[in-house]
Amino acid sequence: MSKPNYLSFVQPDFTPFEIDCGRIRGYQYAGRLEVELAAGRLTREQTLEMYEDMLIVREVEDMIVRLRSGAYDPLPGYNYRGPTHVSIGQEGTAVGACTALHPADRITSTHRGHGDSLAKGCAAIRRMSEAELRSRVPGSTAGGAALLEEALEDHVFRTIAELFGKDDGYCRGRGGGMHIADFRIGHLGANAIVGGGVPIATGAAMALRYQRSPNVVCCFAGDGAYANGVVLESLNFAAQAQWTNHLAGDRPFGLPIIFLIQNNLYAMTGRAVDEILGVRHLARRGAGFADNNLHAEVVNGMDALAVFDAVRRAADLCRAGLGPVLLDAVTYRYYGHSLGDPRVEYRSKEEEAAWRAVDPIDRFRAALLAAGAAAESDLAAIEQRVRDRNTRAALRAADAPDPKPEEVLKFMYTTSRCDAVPEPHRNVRVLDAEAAKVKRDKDGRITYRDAIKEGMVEEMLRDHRVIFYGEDVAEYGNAFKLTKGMLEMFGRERVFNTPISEACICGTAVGAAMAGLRPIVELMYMDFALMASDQISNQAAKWHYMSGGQTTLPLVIRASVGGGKGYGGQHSQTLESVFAHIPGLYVVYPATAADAKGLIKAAVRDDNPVMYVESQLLYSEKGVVPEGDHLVPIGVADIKRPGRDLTFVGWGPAILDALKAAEILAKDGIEAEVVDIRSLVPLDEETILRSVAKTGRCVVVSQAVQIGSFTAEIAARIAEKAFDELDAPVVRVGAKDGIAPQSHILEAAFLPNAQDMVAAARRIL
Amino acid sequence: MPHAVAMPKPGQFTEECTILKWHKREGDPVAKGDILFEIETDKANMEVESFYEGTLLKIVVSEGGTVPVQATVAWIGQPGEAIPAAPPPPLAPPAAPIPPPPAAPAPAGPVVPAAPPMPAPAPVAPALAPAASAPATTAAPARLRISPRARRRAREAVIDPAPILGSGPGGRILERDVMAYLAAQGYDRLRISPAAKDLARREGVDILRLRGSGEAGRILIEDVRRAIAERPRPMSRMRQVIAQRLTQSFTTTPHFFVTVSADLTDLLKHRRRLKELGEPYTVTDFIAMAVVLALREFPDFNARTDGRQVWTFSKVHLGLAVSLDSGLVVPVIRNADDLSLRELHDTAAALVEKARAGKLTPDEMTGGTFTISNMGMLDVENFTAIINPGEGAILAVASTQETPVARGGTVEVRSMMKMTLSADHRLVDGAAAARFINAIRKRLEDPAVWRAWA
Ligand SMILES: Cc1ncc(C[n+]2csc(CCOP(=O)(O)OP(=O)(O)O)c2C)c(N)n1
Ligand SMILES: [Mg+2]
Repeated sequence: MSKPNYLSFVQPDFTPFEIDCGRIRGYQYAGRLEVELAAGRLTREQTLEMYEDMLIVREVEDMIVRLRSGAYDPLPGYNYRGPTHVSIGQEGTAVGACTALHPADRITSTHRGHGDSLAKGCAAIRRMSEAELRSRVPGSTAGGAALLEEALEDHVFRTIAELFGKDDGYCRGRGGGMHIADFRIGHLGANAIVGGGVPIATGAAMALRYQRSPNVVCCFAGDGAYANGVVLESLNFAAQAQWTNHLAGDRPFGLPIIFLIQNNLYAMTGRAVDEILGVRHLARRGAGFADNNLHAEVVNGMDALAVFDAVRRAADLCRAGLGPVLLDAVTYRYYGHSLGDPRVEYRSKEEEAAWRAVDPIDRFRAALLAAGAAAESDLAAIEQRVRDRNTRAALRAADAPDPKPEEVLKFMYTTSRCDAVPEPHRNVRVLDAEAAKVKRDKDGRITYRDAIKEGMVEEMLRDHRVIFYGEDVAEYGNAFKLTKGMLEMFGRERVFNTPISEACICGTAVGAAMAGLRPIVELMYMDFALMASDQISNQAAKWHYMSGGQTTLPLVIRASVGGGKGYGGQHSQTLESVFAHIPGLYVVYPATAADAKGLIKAAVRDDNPVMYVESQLLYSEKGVVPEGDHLVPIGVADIKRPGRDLTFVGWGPAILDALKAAEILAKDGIEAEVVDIRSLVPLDEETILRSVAKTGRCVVVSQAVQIGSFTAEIAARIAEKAFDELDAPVVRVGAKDGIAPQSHILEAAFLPNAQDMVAAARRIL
Repeated sequence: MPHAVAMPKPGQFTEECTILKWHKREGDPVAKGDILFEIETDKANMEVESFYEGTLLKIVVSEGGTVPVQATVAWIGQPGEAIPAAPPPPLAPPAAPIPPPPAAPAPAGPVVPAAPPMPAPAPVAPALAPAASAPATTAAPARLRISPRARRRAREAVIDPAPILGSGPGGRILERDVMAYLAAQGYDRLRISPAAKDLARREGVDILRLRGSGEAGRILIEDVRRAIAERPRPMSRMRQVIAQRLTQSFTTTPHFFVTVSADLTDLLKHRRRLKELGEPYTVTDFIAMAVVLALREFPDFNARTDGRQVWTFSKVHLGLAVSLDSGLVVPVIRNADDLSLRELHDTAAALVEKARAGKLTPDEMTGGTFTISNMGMLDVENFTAIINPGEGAILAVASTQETPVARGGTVEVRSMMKMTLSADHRLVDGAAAARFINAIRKRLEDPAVWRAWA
């Protein structure tokens, strides 16, 4: 065993002291347009582009408002069905921020994300080379300014087409305005779960840091989101000392992420000031997470220049490894939460009028004229161009083909897999090759626990994009000593501890996967997966589909089941059925050491998100496990024992009980077949049905409680597809419909065992 | 508390009905007077209206189901109301299908001995007392308990699994039982042509029940075809009712028969003349009139018995058997003894037309006291009829035939018609029957009598 690579040594020191939280400043930007122009921080063209981009945003959202009341003249009577969370009033924030970003910088956005999406696209497109432009409008024969114009119009068109649910939309009509994404320009998705995108942004920033990329992530989220647990967890996750202190080895580098609060003063209707928050300025949150207050500032979000300035400086900090940065951009939405919100219940007309008086577009227009950057006629021409472009795009979008109903499930799962690692990722640095080495006994056997580690280690050796993190997985080698030696072998860059923050562990994995890594993350107990259920179910599972196949989510969530050791109700649950019910995830659960290794390797190489469930009861079970590349394909069941009189089908530890039950039945001359499905999703129905066709009798087994268990899904499919093969009803054996008790007497009564399976078999023989 | 909707009792003798069609579905609102469902009784189809207002909570008897009258077929109530688990007991013991005949004279004479206390038979139609037809439902035969796999094996073997004894839980037939049965039946030795087996499979013919006509007993396609042709068909509902009632009557009523020949030569001439004058009368009208008058003279033939008591009807309700393609119906001319020949004719004609159109109401087909069955149009010399349940006698009228008859020492050709009376020997004896049938005959032969009618 190698030496621990870091030991803590904190002395008791109770000397009285005071914390000085330092200062968080607001509205310090004193710049004016002519100053920015003179300083060369912006060119005249850029300022006109900013003006145009703000108009593009407003035009699209104004169209939504009008469509809703039948007042959009180009499309009379068009039935617009989608959400109406318009951001009119907030354009200065979206455009100011996106103008300050590099085209390859990433953003995440929110349910009120039309502005962010349009602005990021416009800003990126305006900086594209001719070749890049051409790839966005492949049919075009134009060049130069005309080509740029076509790409811009295409951008507006694909945005509106997505709002209209069309196949030409950015997400092929699968996402809509609340999930719009354009991964080609670094837009990792708007998110209809308030705060849901924040850990994703954090994970993407973590990936950029790992890849030593010069890029940053700008994470847009509302004031309402900054009360949500996962958002606060993300601030903490991003601000961890280990990114920047001695633990970071030769490259201390803070996460390159700008948390940009679009503080429009209201959550849905809940007031940020005086009602649902305890701080007057959200920027103060920065003080809770880092000694540098996350460089927090309050910014005038109605002033595109102020936002541009703040984001440019923040991005510079991030690129210098000094991130993360927290910006609290104060802005205002003129409309309600959605168009169904009359607003009068919670705010006054006078308040609205005061904010309209500082409209970001009007003010910017006046500044352009005052600085002599444009004449009235130039601006009128821009305004006309925006309106015409939008009209053309809207008409085309309304006419565009709908997605085909028979393709409703297209983009649910990808068939892609990493069968060959691209060259740059094969280069892996190993610190101590022996540290995580697994030793076989004289019969070539290793434990299930070591089989999982061996699989992970082999995949990390194979592909530099594979990283591994979770709670206490580093020096400690995880709560079950399963990952012992992995830190020493690969270093903290690739194996690290996380805060106790399951939602962030899973959410950052989503972001990291979107940004090109193939993370494996660990949940110490499967019960804790419920803490992360949004990130697993709404994010990991859904983004391939919701993005219309733009992104894949090659990540593995390992969840350890603690049932059977007297840990009680919150550490013993077998929850894979819950996740099998969420389309978009693969769910696997090996029962033997060989399958444990083969499946973890297959899971890492698969481009779909995989829930990899493992049982602590099985950790010490030994089996012969092939050395080297041993893969068990996902979605292929295994006949663990052949038989002809009865089929036991199931997964996980119940398979070992089923094998014992088969042994007992064999004494009476009854030959039971044991089918280990290994993957719940996708399910190898064929093997199950073939076995049932042979035997005519089936007992479905697992350690899950019976109610709503995936065993019922299997039983139902047999009844549906193999009814005529049945000589008896399909029966199930699982845990009792209760809560795992602590008492071992009670837990033995709670969990199923081999005798229960024998009894169930005899009932139908 | 929701209301139970009962199967109505459309006719006095109706014991069970079949639901043909539901006009409402579960969950539908129902107003008083809405048509709920349509039923087929033993005699006709009819629509049933709701007495309740509310929501059709549950349909208990679905389309095609046959249940005794007054059984609960549905529940109407307020949405969400619980439906009693067990059907509530019938509100009252099934009401007497027939009210005691009006003015039935208390049987004088031999009183039923007080003891032993045999249950006094209810004053119901004796032939069709509900008790006689225990569970009257023509429910489908009990479901065969068989595993899907065993059923498939049986299907593959083209055999009927019904006779197989099941060894599974609750007697369920399992695959092994099918295999054992096939072995015991010598299935392996069965020879059958592939085409024959195919046809048998398609038609559901049990090949173990076939005798092969081919070489060495090989089953050929003709053997299967024959089996298909000879397969029992279910009787129509109407024929089943006929079968049930006539069997009951014929096996529980001691019939005896008396035949006479009536000379209709003069009556036929008279009728032809009337026809030329535009009068529509048929021979049957005259026979009916003669029968009604004879019944007044011999009330014992307008009566019925259950072997203990005798009910003598004070009015004549005359049944006329009408043959339809689908079977036999007997519309009833009410109070025939109050009618003139003209009225008899009109009533009979209207009923026959309704019968042909299938439009008779249950009440128009029940409550007869004596029936005439006329096969005069069918060229028969003579026949006997079975007494309708609930009556005491029936007159079978055959065809009129030109017959040489000795008359006053010479042989004349006369139009002769045979009539056979079937009577319940418990009610009447041969001598009375002879007097009664001759009273009819005389009326038909006596111009003085029928000239007075028309
Ligand atoms: C997890 C979650 N809870 C609640 C909602 C419903 N909801 C949608 S938007 C919103 C308010 C969000 O406020 P904020 O973050 O300030 O964004 P804004 O709408 O002001 O742009 C709420 C409560 C949701 N979408 N997701
Ligand atoms: Mg808000």
